[in-house]
Order: sequence, then C-alpha cells, then structure tokens
Amino acid sequence: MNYRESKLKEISILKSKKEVAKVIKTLRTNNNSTVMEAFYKRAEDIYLNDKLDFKDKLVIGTLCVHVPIEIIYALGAVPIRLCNGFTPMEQLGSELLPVKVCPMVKAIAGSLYVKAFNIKPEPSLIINPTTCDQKKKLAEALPFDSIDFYNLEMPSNKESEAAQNYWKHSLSDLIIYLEKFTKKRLKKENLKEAMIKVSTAQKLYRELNNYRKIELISGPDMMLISSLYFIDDIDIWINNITNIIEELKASENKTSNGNPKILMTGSPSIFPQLKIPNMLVEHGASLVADEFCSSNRLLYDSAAVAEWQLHDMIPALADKYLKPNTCPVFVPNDSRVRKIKQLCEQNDIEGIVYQNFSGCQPYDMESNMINKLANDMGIPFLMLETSYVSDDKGQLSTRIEAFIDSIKMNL
Amino acid sequence: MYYIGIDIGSTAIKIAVINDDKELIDYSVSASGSLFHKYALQQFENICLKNGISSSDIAKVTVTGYGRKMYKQADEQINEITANAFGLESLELKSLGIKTIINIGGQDSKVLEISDTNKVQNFVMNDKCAAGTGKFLDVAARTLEIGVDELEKYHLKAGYDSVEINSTCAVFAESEIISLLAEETSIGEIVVGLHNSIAKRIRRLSRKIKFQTPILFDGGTALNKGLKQALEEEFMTDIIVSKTPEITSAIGAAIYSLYSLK
Repeated sequence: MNYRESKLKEISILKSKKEVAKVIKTLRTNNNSTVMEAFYKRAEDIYLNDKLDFKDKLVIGTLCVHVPIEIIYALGAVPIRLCNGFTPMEQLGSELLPVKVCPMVKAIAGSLYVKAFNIKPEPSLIINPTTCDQKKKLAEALPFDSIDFYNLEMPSNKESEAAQNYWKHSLSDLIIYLEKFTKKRLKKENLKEAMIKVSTAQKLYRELNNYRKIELISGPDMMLISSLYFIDDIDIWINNITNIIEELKASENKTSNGNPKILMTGSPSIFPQLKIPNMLVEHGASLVADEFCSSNRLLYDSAAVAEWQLHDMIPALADKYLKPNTCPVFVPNDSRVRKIKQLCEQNDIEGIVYQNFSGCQPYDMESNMINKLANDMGIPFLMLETSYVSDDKGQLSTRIEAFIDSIKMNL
Repeated sequence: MYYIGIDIGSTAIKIAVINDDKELIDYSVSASGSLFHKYALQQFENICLKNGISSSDIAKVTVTGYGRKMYKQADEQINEITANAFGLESLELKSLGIKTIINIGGQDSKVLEISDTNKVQNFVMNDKCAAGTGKFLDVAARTLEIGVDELEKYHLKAGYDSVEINSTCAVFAESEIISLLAEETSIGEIVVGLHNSIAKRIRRLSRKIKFQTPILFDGGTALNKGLKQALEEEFMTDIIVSKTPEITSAIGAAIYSLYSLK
C-alpha cells in the first residue's frame, strides 16, 4: 500500500467511526428506554473498538440476500455481508466507479479498496450473486486488485421450473467450490446445525417485529439490529436478541402514541445509513414496518425441511433463497406487491415511504408498481430520491414533514 | 383582531394580514437576501406600523417557508406545503373547489393533490436542483440580459413560435441558450421554449399523483402569464391564477393562525 492509499484508508476509517458514533448517539437520543443498550454497545464494540475477531477461522464475504450462509457456517467459515452504509466509503467508491452507480455499490467498492471490514481476519473470498447489473459487474469494474469474487449465478425468473433447476445447479457448483476453498466436506450434521441456528435467528427477529408493531421498539433500532446480523458473531446476536425479547415481554404494554404508522421500502437502509428512517421518527412518524433486503426480507422466511438429509436440506435452502425473495431484479415480481400489501394490512400502515438511491435502477423501475398499490389501497405514498451524503437533508425534511402533516390532517 | 402569516421563502419574504372575517387587510413582498430573519422582522414591523396594528391587536402569528425555523418570534411554525393548502380557504379561492395546486417557487416546484376539505392528499416535489423552478428562469433571464418580469412580455409577443429547450438543468440551459443565441434565434422564441420546458417538467412531476381540475397555479412565478399559458398548453386545460399568487402560502399561514384559535 503506497502513502496515498494508506492515508486514504486512515482518513476514511476515522470518518466512518465518527459517522457510527454520531448515528448511535442519535439512536440513543431518540430512544427513551434502555432495552437497546446491549445492541448499541455491541455496535460500538464492532465498529468503533474493532473487537470482532474470529481468530483462525476463515471469513467469507457475501453480497445481497441470496447467498445461503448456512453452507458457509456448515463448512466452519464465517459469513459477513459486505453491503454497507458508510458515507466515507461511498465517497471513496465515487472516485473508483462510474458516476451513475448507486451509493451502496460505491460503498462496497470503497470498503474493498481500503480493506475496511470491521472484522478480523479479513475476508478471503467474496460470493457475489448476479443480481442487479451494478452488483453483477462490480468485480470487473474495480480498478484495483481486490479479494477474489465468486459469481453465484442467479436466474432472473424465480417461478419457472427451468429457473429453479438453474438455481439448484448454481448452488451445487457453489458447494463444490466452497468445499475446495475451505478444504472441508459439507456434512449433514454441520448443515443441520447451521440451518437450525439461522432459522432460530430468523424466528427471534420475527418475534421482535411484534414489539416493533406495538411501537415498543423503533424502526431505526430494528435496522441497527438487522445490520448487525450482517457481521456479528451469530451466537452473540442470538443471545442479545433473546434478552431484548425477555425484557420486552416483562415490560408493560404501551398504548400507541397516535403517530402515523409508516412502512418503508425501496433501496435498503443499512446502518449507519439511517438518514431517512431517523428523519421519519424525528418528524413524528412510527416506522413500524419495512420491506428492505437489509432487514425484513433478510430475516423473514425460513427454510422448510422435511428430512434432515443433504438431498432434502439443500433443495430446501435453494427454495428459501429464491422463491420468497422479492428483490426487484426478478421478473415477474408481483410477489413484492403482495408482500407489501400484506405488511400494510398486518401493521395498519397509514403511509408508504419509498426510498430510492440515485442510480438504483431496479427499485426505481418498480416504484410505479408500488405507487399504484398505494393508490389502490388508499395509502399516501412518498417517493424519496436520495444518496448517502446528507446535502439534501433540508429538502427531504420539507417533504417528510409535509407528508406526515398530510396524513395527520386527513385522519 | 388580526391574524398574520409570514412565508419566508428562498427568494422572497411574504407577509399577509387578515382579520376575523378572513379579509386581506394588507400584504408585503420583499427579497429574502441572506439575512432573511432580520428582513422578515423589519417587514413585519413595517406592515404593522403602516396599518396601525399594535402587538395587542395581533391574535396569532404563524410562520412558514424555508426560513421559518430561524424566525423564533412567531407563535407557531407550519410546513410550506400545509400552508399552501390552507391558502385555499381564503375568501377568493374557497368557492372554487380547487383539486390541484401547481406551486413554482424560487427554489422548488410542487404539485399538490387536494381533498374535498382542502387538505393535502398527496404531493410531489422536484429533485434537489433548480430545474423547473423560479431560479431556472432567473438564470435564463440573466443570460438573455432581460429582467425576470419581462419574460411574460417576450412570451406573449412570440405567440406560438418557439424553440425546443432540452436542458432542464439551470447550468446546462445557460449554455444551450448561448448556442441558440449564436444561431440568431430570437429572445421571444427562447423564452417560450424555456416556459415550455418548465411546463413539461411539471407535467412529468404530476404523473405520480391524481391530477384533477380545477387547477390553481401559485408561487411567485404565477405572476408570469407566459408561464401560465405554457402550463395551460401542456396540460390542455384552463389554469386559475389568483390576484396575488405569490402570497397564497402567507395567506394560508394567516388563515392557519385564525383557524387554530377557533
């Protein structure tokens, strides 16, 4: 690493830490209970104090929600999702990638460039599902030597038999590749254990969502929790979330504060990029639900296994990562419309906020579909085009305030 | 008693004074500048002095617009979009049953969908740039070396003769205008082209909401009849402009002062 690179690394990591500290401070200020403390501390330990160390274990990076992390766990390695919300990394990425690339992909490029992962040891491989064009072409677009990418081939359809077979083949290839890479065989006991662990984590997240619905836990806090799931030791994460649920069970039921109930969807808000979620809360909304690949979509659907045999477990995993996935790269994707409709009904949603990162084409293209759903359901819809930098806070604030005002006045 | 609305916009400060019967007693419009808080206080004093209003005669002051957070002297602050819709409760507009408001201000443009009870049902706003706003016309007029208030005259004189201005970005439009001038295009044709380009942008913006008539066009740019005509052609319908379109939101804030005390 030359002088310029090491200086860049130093500065952008320092700035990222400042951003983390600022966002955790905001979360603490907006939260008047102590239930989240364990997660705030954990976030500080990982992002500020660099305490996440897996010693001699192999760390494997993943992108998007389509990589079956159960397989990585079963092979004794640790998965870490590299999609991130660091503004300084996005700024770095802006210098490396074409202008019109979305900020999240830029942030990934930035963190790869300066090797800022908040985890030890550094990832030695990145599994990249071929989802949107920008993610797909990322490895080829990087103007520097990066960690090796493995392209996990995805079909663009998820319902046809051909697509499902294609996906199953793709997963078999991944398993063969990873077995070679980790120099281990995939064993059924290990895969079973990993699948049970991941599905426990998902079950707990769903359970916690019930408390979000009754506003005992806020939307931005839920997003911090799910972002930690990207990176944290899964056992510690499970332990922390179990404790929170116990504490919330014991607490008295709060009566609703009457704030408009909002669902957020679109380009994902990944910690510390919680600009819009925090603004919504600060302007008097309750962010009771989301349909983001970084939180609800990530942790909602579990694998359904009939028999704990490899020939049954692997297809069950394949199904889990394809069929219920509402990523906008799929065609057709009316299941996303159905999913959002269902979330609106379950959570008595009074407004939908659609976040679109500038340059994120798939979500932009699907916004009309969701706008139409909102109109059909009589739910006000707000489309916000934004990026990681906060130069648009003034304009966003005007829109968000007016949106919440209009919901309140029409109630 | 008097009810006052102050709208501190990006370009101008607007103050409206109404009485218990919602009659507009007086209003003022002045440039925002950089010290908009100070100027707003001055304007407020001036208008009170001019009309012999003492502080005991004022029931409530509501402030709105970009600069509202700086104006701590007000009793309440409301969002400019909410204030704009309250403006429909004025004596002049109430009976018209407005369903859509097109507001083109100095720094942003918005299209508001209005409910039967004059509440904001839905709205869309331009992105974070000057495209399709008053600022765009400002920059263009400067390049053409004419005043913003002359745009109307040039438009109406040119009639339907126009050129296509493709850039909606204020910066790019400037270079497009310069190249048009170099091709000996007349100022009138360019002005019509500019107005059409704003109208087209507003129509694109309004696709996302339920767009119903009657339509009210307000904000400072609504004083420009050329732009009104361009919007009417683009939307292929009549558009209403009130007597004082630049102060709709200030009147709205004043009406809010009145309503919130009832």
